[in-house]
Amino acid sequence: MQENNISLNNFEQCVKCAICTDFCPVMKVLPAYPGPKKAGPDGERLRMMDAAFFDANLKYCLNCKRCEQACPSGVRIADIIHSAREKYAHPHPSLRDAMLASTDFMGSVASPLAPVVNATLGLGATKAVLDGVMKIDSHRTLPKYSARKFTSWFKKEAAPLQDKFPRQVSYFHGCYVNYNYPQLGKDFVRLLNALGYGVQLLDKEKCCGVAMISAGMFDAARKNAAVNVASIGDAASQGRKVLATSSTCVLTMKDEYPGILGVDNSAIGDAMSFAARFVFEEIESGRAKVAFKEGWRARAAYHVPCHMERLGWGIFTRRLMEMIPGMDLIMLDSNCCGISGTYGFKKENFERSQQIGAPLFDNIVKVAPEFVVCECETCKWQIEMSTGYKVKNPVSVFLDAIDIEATAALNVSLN
Amino acid sequence: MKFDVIVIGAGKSGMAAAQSLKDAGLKVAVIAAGSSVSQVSTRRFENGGGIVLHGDSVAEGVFDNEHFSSVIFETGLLKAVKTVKIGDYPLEADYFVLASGKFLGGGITVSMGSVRESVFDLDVAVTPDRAEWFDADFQAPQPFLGFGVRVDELSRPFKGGAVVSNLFACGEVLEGVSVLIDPSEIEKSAERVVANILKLRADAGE
Repeated sequence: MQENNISLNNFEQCVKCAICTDFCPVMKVLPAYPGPKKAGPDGERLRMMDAAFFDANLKYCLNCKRCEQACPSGVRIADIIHSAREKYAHPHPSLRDAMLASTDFMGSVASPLAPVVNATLGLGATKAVLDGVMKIDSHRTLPKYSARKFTSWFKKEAAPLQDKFPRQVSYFHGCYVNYNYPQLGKDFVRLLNALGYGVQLLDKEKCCGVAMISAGMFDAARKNAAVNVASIGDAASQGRKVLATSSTCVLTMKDEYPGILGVDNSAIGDAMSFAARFVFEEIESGRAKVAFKEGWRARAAYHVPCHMERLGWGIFTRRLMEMIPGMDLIMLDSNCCGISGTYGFKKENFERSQQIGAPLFDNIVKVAPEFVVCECETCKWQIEMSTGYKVKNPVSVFLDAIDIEATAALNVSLN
Repeated sequence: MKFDVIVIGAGKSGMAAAQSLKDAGLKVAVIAAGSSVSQVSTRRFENGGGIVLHGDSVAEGVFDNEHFSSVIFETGLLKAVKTVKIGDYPLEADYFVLASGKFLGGGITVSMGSVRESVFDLDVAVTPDRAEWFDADFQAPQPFLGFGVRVDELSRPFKGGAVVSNLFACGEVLEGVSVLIDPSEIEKSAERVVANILKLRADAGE
């Protein structure tokens, strides 16, 4: 990169080739959106001259990062757009946006009341109120809260069994596993235990902050970032890998902390990894052994979430799935599902969100797999709601395909 | 993770080489620093089972240094590449194709007084005197358009004077090749590289 770069996010590297505009899923369905080139590096030049050039339509950016993927010059276009939102729009999140973004707070309140909350959220009357008053679209199937948080389960059921393993990893479970779908976290612990690794939670874990970034709650996101960087750095200093099962949490902590929030995350270093990548590397290198079930068969389609594409680690999930005998894996075309975290929940975005995802939904229906493999929880909600096909995390798929007892026995001897 | 061939660059020559090698039955991965100009060609390649590392680029090559230091062999061997995104995990291959483009594509980096090959610091053919890099007549053929990596008769570049025996270059990164000189050379050079790799594999009984 250029030696004397004076601006953030490489914006001076833009050569105006406009490839990014061709990759933007929002531009295809919303002509009013200026597109990544105009909203990003082009607009930045103008905004530096006069803040009046700030375009309110920048809020329609999905932060899918496809523009950054496409850029041959390494310009962090989406980071420029979101930094501009903080600098010029001074967003004041509405009650709805704050609620959607405060995953930790909402989860803590809702989990103990899960049966009531879930039943209430499913009612037509509740949806009508949410739609009318809160502007959360009534067509959207709302994610269910779990009655028992993952961390409560872990501390009671799993934690006492972890110390017997000589090799240890830390787990960044994220809000989704903790409040909505603890089963994925349980699958993760069972898989890692079978492979001969004990699992520990971080001393302190906060929501990665991605939803706060989209809601414009940048300072709240920075506070969470500081806690997470310290906890992960702590685990890293003990030589422990910190694994996540959500692609977006990883991308946020690795890229968005410095790129959008300006938070130094160097303490994380290479310690942060993704569960599927870690499992693949351990098995490939022979550090862990695996025994598959006899006769396990599946025909699955892999949707690489936008944030996994941006991380560049989709290849590890693909290879992990292809390692399973009896797995027929079909790669879906690279497309955004359109939900982009909390974006698709908002009434004003619902229709656009479905339009953006349409090519992916058509692709899945045409392939007609038994299920879809995907590392992202919001893609899962979107695909399940829009196609009816079940979406599974690669960790759960792999766990299902292995003979757990036989695998554990193989790895005891390795330890 | 090991492949038969890793292609660096997803422009016209890189994708042409990757598709032909995959069609010949090889396990091929493409490292696409910035998505390919043609989404059609990468989709076709991926749908047929090829692997594309979108938006990633080579951080370093893992060379077999013994080959380089040896006075007897005078050849180098590229064992693996590490990428910016994947980090400290080498992607291995028997053969590598460098199709990283020239100035706009980023395959050749120019600064005041120096012209370098960006990915592996390979030997570059360049006029030493900077005053001769260009012709003051704007319309005249510009000498700098021909700058690029020097290759042997099998299209293999050199590093520190030694040929890298399993690395092949095609497209604009080559000395004397530019769309502004002869656009047809982009694909022709890719075809030559494919033929050379397939021949070497056949000779080795693969």
